[in-house]
Amino acid sequence: MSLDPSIRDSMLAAVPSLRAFAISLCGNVDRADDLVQETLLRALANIHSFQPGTNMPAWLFTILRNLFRSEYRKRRREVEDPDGSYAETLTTHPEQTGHVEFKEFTAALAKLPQDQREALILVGASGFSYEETAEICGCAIGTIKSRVNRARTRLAHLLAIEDLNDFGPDRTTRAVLTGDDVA
Amino acid sequence: MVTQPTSKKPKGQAALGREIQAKIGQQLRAYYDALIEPTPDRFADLLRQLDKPGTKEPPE
Repeated sequence: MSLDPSIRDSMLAAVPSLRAFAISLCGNVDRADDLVQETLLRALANIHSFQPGTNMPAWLFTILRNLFRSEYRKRRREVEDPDGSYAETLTTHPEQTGHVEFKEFTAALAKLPQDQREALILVGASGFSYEETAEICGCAIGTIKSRVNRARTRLAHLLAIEDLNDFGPDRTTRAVLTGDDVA
Repeated sequence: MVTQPTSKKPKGQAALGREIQAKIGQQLRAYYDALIEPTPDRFADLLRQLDKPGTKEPPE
C-alpha cells in the first residue's frame, strides 16, 4: 500500500489529540493506545473513502469513537476509571492549575455520563465545532449543545463553583483571563 | 460596580455565568493537555511501516 505523504502527515498530526481523547474515553493508557492503533489501521484500510482536503481529525475521531463504542458494549463489565484514577496520576504544571484543583476536576469529569463527557471534551478541549462534534457522535447539533450545557452545569455543581472566590486565580487574574473589568 | 454575568435563559438548564464557563474551559484544557504530552513514537512508526509495501518488520 502506498500512502499519500500529505495524508499520512495529516493522520500523524491528529494522533496526539486523538490519543488524548482515547485516554479520556478509556481511562487507561494501554487500552487507549490499542484503540488509536486500531483506529489508524481501520482508517488506512478505508482510506479510499476519505476525501482529501476534508477534515481528517474529525474522520479519525469518528472511527475511534465507533470502535470504542462497539468494544465498550462487549466489555461492559469492565469499569472505566470511575474515579478518574488514571487522570490523578498525571502531572500538571503548577502554573497552569493547582494540583488539588486538577484532581478535583478530573474526578468530577469522571462522574459525568459518558455522552456528556465526550461532547464536552470534543467541543471544549479537542477543538471541534458543535457541527463537527455532532458528526463525530452521529447525532444532531442540538443534542450536542444540550449535552455540553448539561455537562458544564453538572461540573459547576460538582465542583461547587458558585462563588468564584473559592476557586482558582484571584479576582484580578481572573479578570484578565475572562476579559472582565475588575469592579 | 459588580456585574453578574448570568445569561438569561428562560427555563431548563441553570444558566452558568461566563466566568464559570471560562473556568471550566480552562480546567478542561489543562486536563486534556496533560493527556496529550507524552505521545509515543509507535504511531509514526506504524504508519511508516504500513506505507512500505510488503514489509512487516520494524524499520532498520
